[in-house]
Amino acid sequence: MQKHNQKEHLYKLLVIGDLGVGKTSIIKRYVHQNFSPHYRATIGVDFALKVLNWDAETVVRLQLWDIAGQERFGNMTRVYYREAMGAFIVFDVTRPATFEAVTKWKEDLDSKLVLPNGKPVPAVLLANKCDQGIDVLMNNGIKMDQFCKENGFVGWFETSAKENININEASRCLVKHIIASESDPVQSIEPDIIKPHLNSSKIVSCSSCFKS
Amino acid sequence: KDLADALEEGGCDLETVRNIIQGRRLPADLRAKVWKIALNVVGKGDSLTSWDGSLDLPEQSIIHKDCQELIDQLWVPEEEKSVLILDIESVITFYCKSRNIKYSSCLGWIHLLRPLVHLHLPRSDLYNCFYAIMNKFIPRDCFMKGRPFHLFRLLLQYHEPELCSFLDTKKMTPDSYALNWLGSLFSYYCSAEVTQAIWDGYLQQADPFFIYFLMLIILVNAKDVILAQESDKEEMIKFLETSPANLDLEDIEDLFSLAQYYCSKTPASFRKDNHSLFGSSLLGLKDDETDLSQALCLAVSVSEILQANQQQGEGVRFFVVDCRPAEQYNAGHLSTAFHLDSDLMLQNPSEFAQSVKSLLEAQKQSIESGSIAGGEHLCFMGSGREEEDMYMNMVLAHFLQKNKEYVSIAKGGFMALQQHLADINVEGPENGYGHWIASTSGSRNSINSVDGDSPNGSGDAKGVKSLVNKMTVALKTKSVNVKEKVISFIENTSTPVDR
Repeated sequence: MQKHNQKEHLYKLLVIGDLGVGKTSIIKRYVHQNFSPHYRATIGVDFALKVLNWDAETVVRLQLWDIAGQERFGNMTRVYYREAMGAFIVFDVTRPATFEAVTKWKEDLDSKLVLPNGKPVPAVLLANKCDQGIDVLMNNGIKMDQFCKENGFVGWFETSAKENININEASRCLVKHIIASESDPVQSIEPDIIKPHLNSSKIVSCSSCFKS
Repeated sequence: KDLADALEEGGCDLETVRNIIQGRRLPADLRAKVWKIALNVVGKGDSLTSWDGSLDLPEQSIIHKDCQELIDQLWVPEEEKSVLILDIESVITFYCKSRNIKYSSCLGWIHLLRPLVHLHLPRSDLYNCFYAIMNKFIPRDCFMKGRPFHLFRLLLQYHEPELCSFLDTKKMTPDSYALNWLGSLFSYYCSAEVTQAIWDGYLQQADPFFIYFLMLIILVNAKDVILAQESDKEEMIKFLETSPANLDLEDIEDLFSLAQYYCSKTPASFRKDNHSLFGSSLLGLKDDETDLSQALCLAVSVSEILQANQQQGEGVRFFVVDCRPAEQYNAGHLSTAFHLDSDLMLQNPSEFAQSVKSLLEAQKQSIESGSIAGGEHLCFMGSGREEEDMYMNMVLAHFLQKNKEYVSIAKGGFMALQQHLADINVEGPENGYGHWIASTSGSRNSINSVDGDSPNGSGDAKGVKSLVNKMTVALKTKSVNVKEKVISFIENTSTPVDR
């Protein structure tokens, strides 16, 4: 044991994306090495811990925050973004709509969270359920690279929680970028700069319509 | 029968009628009179006199068609038909005009009118009854994605978390199957005689929220079938939606007594805090403070928490779980609250699991010992500040995820509790609430803290401290007046010790 000169890092990672894309399954596979074919909606937020022996002198503890994809918890979950160091944005390759929602999730993330140095948090895109063989867009890796570049993802992976494909790799990629961004000696930007963001999502229902 | 005599005499109120009926079946010939009493329309004048009677709404043809269809479904002698149709059409038209509502078939009014038409009421009574039902028993925003259905989901989750989670997972929201249950008070699906029997009971209850429990029973009844089903979503919704049609006249008594049971196991805040759903009061218009669609679980007011555990006998009793950080808890907390440090969930999952186990154990013991701290209903209390309470929400979600029933949140958290105590203490310290707040650091209630044994012995001080789950149990003595308190401590695995 080389405990004396070991460094420990604690990183909070978010796992976000539409309902039913497999966020919980990815975490389960990654942390507990198992998979259940029975889907169940996550209530609010769940949480799991993963310890990585990064290299001889570094231990990385990952807090994986599993955020419910349901609209129901939209407002409530914002608060959970705080102090996250990185994020996985997940979509389901068999459902194009979930890919279309990726940019929405990314914008949401960037509007609510920036690193202390003012940069957006590193995010990795996960194209989950690649074992299903119904790849709608995966035969086009160049397009995906382009998409990631345009939308500020540090990388993307085809994953399968069921077959345990690429999950460890995706995680290493994200952690690598987090470590790099931490050692990035960029000047610290004043944290109280208010970023303009649209607040148009609130739909006000008219309570006087039906009855008054 | 007594009822006939009493009604003949006139002037009797709902209370009297209820006492005579005592839950027995209502004779058909007396139904009209009883419903009118229950709807409080006896002796009300003819609202339609002020109206010129012209049927000239843009959607008039739809109204006429719907009325025609309704009458065709009933066995009405041919010669009476045209008069009856005119009555119904007038009622709808005048209602639309006076309230400035655009008619549409999907409002389901026809189904609400059907049981009333069966009563053969004169037009003025028909209108008054319809108006009273709309006003008193149909919640506002009773449409897709409407507030009443978000509330129903919370009620379902409170009693049947497993079923609720299953339906959420399938994205089967209550409005998708229960829209017409609520909108027509079951008349849409049930046979005429079953609907009558349901309304007999429901109108006599005079509690609009009771429909929620009737709806809950329908779901609970279908639970096994739903959970076992592998069919697709549309099919399941259809199955659920039409399940009230399977009700028989014989089932109604059971339906009501079961509903009564679930009702008694529901915090009063469910009603009190959602009162604005019903009635025409303008108060309802400004009640957008809480967005029910975003609520994690049912909220309970702090005043109810304080009152509930003082009551004897049946009723909802709470086991309060204080999820604030240890410093805040130590500085002052509800004397009956169990402390569960939510930070533990993140920092040390295994210790957290241990704490949850001891929480459930402590809850069990306090219920068995009849302590006032005991209660089947787990109520989570945070600080009342959103940022701080995010961990509490995670803990709460953890319990919900495990299908724990009777889980609620203390509305406004500890801040609201302090405010409430300050408000009621205005009358002086003698009202018996003075001892409610205990402070671990102060000596006011002579509470000692007992440190738990940390499994890893020399762990960091913070970890050890958060392990300590202190609980003060104020046992209630037989006499209500005696305020003597017995404080005992429950800590991880030990049994309570009386002092």
